[in-house]
Amino acid sequence: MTAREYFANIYDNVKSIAIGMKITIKYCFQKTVTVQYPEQRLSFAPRYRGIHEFELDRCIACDLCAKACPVDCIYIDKTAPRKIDKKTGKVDPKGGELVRYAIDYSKCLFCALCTEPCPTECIHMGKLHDLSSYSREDVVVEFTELDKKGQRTPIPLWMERNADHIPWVKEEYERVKSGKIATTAGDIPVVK
Amino acid sequence: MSTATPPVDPNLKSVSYGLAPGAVDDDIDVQSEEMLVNMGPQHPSTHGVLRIVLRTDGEMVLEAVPHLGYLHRCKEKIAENLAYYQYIGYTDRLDYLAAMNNNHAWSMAVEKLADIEVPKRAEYIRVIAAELNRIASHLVSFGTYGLDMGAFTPFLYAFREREYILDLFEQLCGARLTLSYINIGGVTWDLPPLFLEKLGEFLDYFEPKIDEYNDLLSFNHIFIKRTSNVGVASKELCIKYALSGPMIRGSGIPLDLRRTRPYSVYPNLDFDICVGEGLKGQLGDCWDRYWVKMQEMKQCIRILRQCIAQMPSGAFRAKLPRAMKVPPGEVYAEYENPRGHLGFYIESQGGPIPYRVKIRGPSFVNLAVTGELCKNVLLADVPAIVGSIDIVMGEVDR
Ligand code: SF4
Ligand code: SF4
Repeated sequence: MTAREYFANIYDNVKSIAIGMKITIKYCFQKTVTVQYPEQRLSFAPRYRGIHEFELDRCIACDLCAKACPVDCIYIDKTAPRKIDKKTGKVDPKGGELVRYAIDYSKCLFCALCTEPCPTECIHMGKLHDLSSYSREDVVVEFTELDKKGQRTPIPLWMERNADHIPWVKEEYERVKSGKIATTAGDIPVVK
Repeated sequence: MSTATPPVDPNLKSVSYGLAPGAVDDDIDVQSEEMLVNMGPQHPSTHGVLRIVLRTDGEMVLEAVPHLGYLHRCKEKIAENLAYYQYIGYTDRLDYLAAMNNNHAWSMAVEKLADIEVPKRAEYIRVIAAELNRIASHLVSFGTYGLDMGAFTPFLYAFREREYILDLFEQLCGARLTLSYINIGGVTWDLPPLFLEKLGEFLDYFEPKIDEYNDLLSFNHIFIKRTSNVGVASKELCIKYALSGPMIRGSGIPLDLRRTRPYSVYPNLDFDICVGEGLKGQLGDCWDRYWVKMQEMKQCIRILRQCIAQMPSGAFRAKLPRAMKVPPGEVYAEYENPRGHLGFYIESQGGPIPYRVKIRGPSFVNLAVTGELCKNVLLADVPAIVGSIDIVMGEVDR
């Protein structure tokens, strides 16, 4: 390597670093693109596919969702077939009972295939994504048990802990607690 | 007391790392200065759980043998037990950086087998989704390649733009990575309102960013020094190893299935095939392969602009019965993934589930050339070469 090449090399290096610095310094004075989760959060798209919301009072226990599921993670136990009461739009209480409706979230792919065939549209994808738990058993969500508490979807652990000091978490927490549904009719268009 | 020493396990010596004959002998440390080094499976610069056994002599790598299988999930076997539409969720997890492309390839294969006509609008939506995902995938490839070469900033910039694309995907189908959006007979949901406008905005925002990346990384002198004339794959070598995607185009062979064996609506779209030209060194080196990907992002933008302009109205999904029966027969459908040719071979004996599925993964085939490229190179060049091959282990191991 001649002395000329040696210094040309140094010059090139310094030049490309200067070009890079120019770009990065420009961003120092711009708005940050990241948010400080969990104090702030990004909004979800209307079609967001999160943890399911299940309306037990409209489920006719037809097993169609369990059959559509590619990983067989929906468990349904029932005593007899259930029917929808045309007048109220809810399940006829004289029919059978849905003993167990559970989804194993250690297997679920969040593919939304279970929501497509449901005749009464009582299972849909919710807006919560952070379901963590301390044991494997807790990952299996018993929706029948939740329904007894008036909930449509499980409450993430961290949400309970943070509800009192982060405003948006409190809002979400109260929504889930009261059994309100995040998905609206226009959110995920039904495929028929 | 010699009888008390435990007998040497005869199996011990036959542990083979798959190296050339003579490479493994029990007193290798004494005879020569060669050393076996395990790179991975938990090495920061192997993309995913790839283990490469290197035979080194000081700083020189004499031989490199990739070892696979840490991420094997029996994808092909699972397909034999699932209905065609149920397998879509699994194709997401093959090449998880290009889920749309995998969905598209699988749907195309099944449609070819069952002779399903896809509506025109669905085809355009599919191309939009696939090209967006191609950009997202190339962005990850660009960012992590910078990371391998010791440049951290481009990685953050790449992910910032990728986030925009993932947001668009979230609008489209509700997921960000495992999309399951392209479905047999079309797409699962129609475009959400204002999607095309938002896409146009993104393209306007994104186009100047590519030049910024070029200033930041592509033409950075240090980066060029690290990647040019390293890992040169000649045209013959590429053909011999059946490479595809940016690997083969980087060596100057214009093989792109979107053009050479067009599918979907690509014949109606105008774009160039980017090939390496040996701008910064020999033809087919790491820099050329990298440069092909940067150029391709610009072509993706061109394709997307044309799709927005040409978007027809109409149905977004063909009318299919829920329990779709597929006639007996076999089919092989090829698809241009961001990483190369993705092929699905399906054998059907009638009924709702396939009899056998074989996946031809581009990363898997491209990875095979590692041993050839990493011969007699410096140890520091190995991450450069492996990074430029741009593998996704989810698809290599399947
Ligand atoms: S989202 Fe998919 S994997 Fe999860 S329960 Fe529904 S069908 Fe099964
Ligand atoms: S498809 Fe709907 S109605 Fe039938 S069992 Fe599933 S959730 Fe209940």
